[in-house]
Formats: sequence, C-alpha cells, structure tokens
Amino acid sequence: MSRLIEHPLGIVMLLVISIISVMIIFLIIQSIPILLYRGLEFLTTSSWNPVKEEYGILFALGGSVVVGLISVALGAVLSISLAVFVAEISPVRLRSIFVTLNDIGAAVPTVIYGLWGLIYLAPFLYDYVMAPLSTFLSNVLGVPSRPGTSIFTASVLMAIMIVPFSSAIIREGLLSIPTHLREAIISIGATKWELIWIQVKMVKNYIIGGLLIGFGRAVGETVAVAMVVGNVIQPEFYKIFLPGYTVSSLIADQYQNAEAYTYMVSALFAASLFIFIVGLLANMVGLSMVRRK
Amino acid sequence: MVSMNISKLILISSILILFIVGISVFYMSQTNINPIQQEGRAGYTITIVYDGQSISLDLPSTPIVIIGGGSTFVNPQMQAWATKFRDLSKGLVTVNYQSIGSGAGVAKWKSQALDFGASDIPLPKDIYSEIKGTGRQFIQIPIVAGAIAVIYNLPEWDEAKCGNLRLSGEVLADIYLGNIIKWNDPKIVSLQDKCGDLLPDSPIIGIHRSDGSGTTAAFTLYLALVSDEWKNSVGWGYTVEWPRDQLGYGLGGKGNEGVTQKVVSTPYSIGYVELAYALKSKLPVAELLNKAGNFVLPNATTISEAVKYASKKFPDPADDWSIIADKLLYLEGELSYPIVTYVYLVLDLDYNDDNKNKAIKAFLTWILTEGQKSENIVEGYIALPKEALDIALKAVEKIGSS
Repeated sequence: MSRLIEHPLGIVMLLVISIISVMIIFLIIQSIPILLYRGLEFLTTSSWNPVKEEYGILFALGGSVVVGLISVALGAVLSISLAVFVAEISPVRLRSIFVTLNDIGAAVPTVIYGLWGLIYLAPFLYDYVMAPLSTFLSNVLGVPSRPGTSIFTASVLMAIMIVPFSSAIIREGLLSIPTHLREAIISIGATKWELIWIQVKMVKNYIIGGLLIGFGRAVGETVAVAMVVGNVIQPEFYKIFLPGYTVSSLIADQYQNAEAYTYMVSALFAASLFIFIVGLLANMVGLSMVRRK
Repeated sequence: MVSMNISKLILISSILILFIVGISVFYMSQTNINPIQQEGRAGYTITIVYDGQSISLDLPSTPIVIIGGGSTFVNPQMQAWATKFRDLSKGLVTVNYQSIGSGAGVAKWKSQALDFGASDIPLPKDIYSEIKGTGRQFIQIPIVAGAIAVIYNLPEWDEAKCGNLRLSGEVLADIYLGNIIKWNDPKIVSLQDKCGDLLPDSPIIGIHRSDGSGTTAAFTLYLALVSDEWKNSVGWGYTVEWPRDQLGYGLGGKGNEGVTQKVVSTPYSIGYVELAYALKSKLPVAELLNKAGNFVLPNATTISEAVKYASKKFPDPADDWSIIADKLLYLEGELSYPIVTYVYLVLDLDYNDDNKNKAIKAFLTWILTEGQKSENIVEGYIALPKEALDIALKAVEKIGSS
C-alpha cells in the first residue's frame, strides 16, 4: 500500500479512483429519495408521468440494454471484418490510408452521426429493412412508422458509430502478433482463411475489450441516439421497430426542467445509477470471458 | 526500453495534469479580485424616454454581472437585450443568461444561485408559498409574449386552393388523446370550410416535445382548458404522458427544432412549436378556433389581441400568479389567438448590494420600456401592451428601496 502512495503514478491513480468513487457515492445519495418513494416499482414499471410524479424506468433501461446488445452484435461482425481486412487483406501500402479513414470515423462528432441517421439512415432502414420485415414479423418486432426512428435504427446507428473504436483495438491486436508466429502458422500449411481464423482467436482479448468499449459507448451515447430512437415511452421496448427511449436520451430530454418536480431529479440520477450498474455487469462478463482460456 | 518510455510519458502527463488542476484551484480561490477601477463613473446614468416622459436609469458605480437563467424559449431575446444593454451601459451592466430550462432557472433562483429566474409558467403554488413563508421579498413580472403554432404535413392539402387547415382545441385534444385516428375523421372534416373531402384516409402521426419544456406546458394547459377528458386523464406540465404514443401514432422530438424536423420528414404528421420555428420551417400553420368562434392564424394582430385581453387579468407582481396561469389562454376577442404564452421573470426586491440593486433595476426598466420597441424585439416574440408594462415597471421601481 505504501509503495502505491509513494510512487508518483500511485497519486494519479488515487486521484482518478477517488473521483470515480465520489461520483458513484453522489449517484447513490441522489437516488435514495425516488427509491424510497417508488421502491421496486421504479425498476419494474414503465411510466414517466411528472404530472402525477410517477416514474418507472423499465422502458428506458430496457431500451438501453437492447440498443447496447444489438449494436455490439452488429458492431462485432463489422469491426472484426474491418480489422481483418485492414491488417491482413489490404495491400500494405494502402493500410495507412484505411487506418486513417477508420480513425477519422472515431473523431466525427456524434451529432453529425445523429443528423445523418435521422435524415438518411432512418428512412432507408424503414423502406428496405423494417417495412418488409414487419409484414410477417410485426407481432414480434412491432409495426414501424415513418420516418423510421426506432430502437432498431438507434442500434444500427450505434453499431456504425462503435466500429471505428472496436476495429482500431482489434486491428492493433492483429498487427501485434509477432511475424514468426504468422510464419509458423503458414509453414504448417494453413490456408489464408485458416491463418486469419487462428489469428482472430489469438486476439480474443482485444476483441472483447474493443466490444466492451463499444457497448459502453452505445449505452452511454446521448445526442445521436436521442435523434433517432423516437423518444416515446414504450413499455414494449423489446419490439425494436417501434420508437422507444434509452436512459441517456431520457436524461438529455428531461434534466432541464427536472427541478420543477419533487422526484424527477432523483429519478434521473437513479436511472443513471442503474445504467452504471449495467455497464459494470457488462465489464464483469467481459473480464470473465477474458480469464476463461 | 519501450515500457520505460511509456511510463515516463505517463509521469510527465500526470505532472502536467496536476499542474493544470493546481492552477485552476488557485484561480477558483481567487475569484473577484482586482475589481476594475471606475473612477469618475459614479453617478453615471442613462436617460430614456418612455410614454412622453424621460426616465433616468442609475447605473452601478462598478461593473456588475447579473446572472440569470431559465427558459430556453426566451434565450435569443434575452441575449439580444443583454448585448444591447451592455453596450448602452458602457460595460457597467453585463447580463449573463444561462439557457438551462424554466424549472432549473426557478430552482436555482430559489437557492440564490441566480439573480433572476426566467420561466415559461408562473411560480407553482407550493414554491410560491414556500418562498413567501421565508419572508423573502420577490416579484414575478411578464416580460415578453410568444405564441404556439400548430404545424402539419399533409401532402394532399393545397393551401392555395383550400386555405390553411382548420382545427379546434377539442379536435387537437382528441388527436393527442388517440380518440381521432385518421385525417378524414368526421370531426376534422366538419371544421373545414372547403376541401373537406381531400383529407386522406391515413393515420395522423402526433408529434410532441420529448424534452420537458414550457411549450409543452402551455400547449397541454390549453388542451386541458378545452377538453375535460384531457384535463382528467393527462393534465398539464413540462412533460406529460402522451396517450397517442401508446397507439403507435405518436413520436417525440427534442426541442422546437426536433419537432419541426420530424413534422417536415413525416408525411401526415402534426406538431406544435413556438411560432418562430414554424415561420422558419415554411411548414403550413393551422388556423385555430378561438373562443369567439373564429378561425385565426398566429400573427402580430391575433397575438396582440390575445395579449391585450390577458394583460387585464395580470395580478400584482408580488401576488401568486399560479392561480391565473389557466386564465391567460383561450381568451375572448374576435381575433384573439388561443395559445399565447408569456415569459415570467422572478426576482428579488433587495439583493443586499446597492450596486447590484441599481444594475438589475436599470436593466429591467430598460427591458420594459426601450426593450419592448420593435427594433429590440427578436422575430417570433411579441411585445407586451402598455398596461401590462406599467404594472411591471411600478414593481421594478421598488427594487432596492425596501
């Protein structure tokens, strides 16, 4: 312990950890009033009715988790493919161009993604994905409506937004595999695809790490999601073609006038506390996957 | 070797961060030092002419920053006033307005974090009584009016041939309640003068604000006034639960711009926004049925007429305004537009600082006189009539004199 404190980096670590702990304690303290007032109903019901001071955030929590899971699933396919392409398939001379393009994708402001999602992606998905699919899946996925803003649209947009991050991490993993290992794999007669497959398995930890960052980003993203998720209190949040809410977009929508109501501020803090817990659980799952050999 | 470099890098950057944190902590503890010396400026006044007589505004002897905040709706107008007045006062009075939302503005003024709060609705009764109970002297004054326009996206409807779509409060309530599903509902058709048969057999997409807003508060208050069903099942406030959403025919948009954007991009939709956004969007605006039985568009004439009748009902600035909130909408008058909104300032009568009292008094007096002239009013806002301004001016006169 004393070594931790004496080392200059230990001080920085203590500073960072104490800031995060203060934030968590603050969240918990702020959440207490609504939890005492609504109890478990706060977690298990779907309503946001400040007029009657009724708050239940199941719809938003569910929306966040659904957006997070779908976007990570889509993002996993996209970002692994992209990373493999850049690291293995693309000509070495062009690699730096692809890397730069990829990293620019991570630097585009989220509001730009949101605007693009609202104007182009949502109508496109409505015409070519949601409307055709809903003709025979409407019982499960819901009936979409124009302009196509829905939980599904938000998930696709978030998948697109997390790809630059996840694939950059996976790509660095692939590029860090020592040349002699690659040569060894090739020398025992592996085909190109076998070589790729073995390497992808070798960078499993990078993939999990990259996707965890993606999940955190998808769950926490506010501006872009608020523009395409529909912003409707939807108890059936699992019907992904319907407009819905995520916790972050709910907070962005509601914090301005929250102080005009008795419990709304507390309800918003409690919602963010639960989204924090969701993120924590996701990290624990990811870590246990990394540890399992 | 590489890891050595990285840890050095981390060390250097952490020292840098600590250094920056140290500097900012140092400056945070040093606020308000070095007041600018304003020798010879004491007693500086601005003279304005109002109602045929000249009023002189006493300015503070040192530069004062007034911190206000609240309503996002009034933000462009407040910024315009603040800029103009800072120039007029030669930098002696700076108004720092934070567009944080009405609810937050009132709450932060209540906890004395702001000098004044701006709100789209009057102080709620419980907050009013609570502050009154502490013995704090404060007033509420309306400073500017606005209107809420109902916009629609109806491809079949040709305004040149059919005129603007006509709607009534009851029909709007029925739409947002989900009682009316399609555009060709007999209740909508019967309101139209002509082209009633052009209304399509398509569901209406009801668009509303998803964020808490004074616009929603005024719009839902209007619906509650004209429809008992709305009043009993939904109520009114910054945020309400929209019954139409549950049918799958409702959508939320963030901010006036979000609602406008959604109406533009969603055929067969309807929405409500502040007038300035409706004008900017070039979307058609619905004519609304007023209390006198006429269909009126929101414009300078119809809004001013409504403001004229409303201002007769304004209580004393020191009184509880929450009880008249529902009496300022849907008013008599042949041409009155039914959904007119007001921005209210809440402020103290004594800031325990002579200079601050002078600064706030001068700024507000200017807003209520010169500030109401058309060249100082931003598009989409409506100046208040003289009767309302006189009452407010009399109240502002008391600042610092108690």
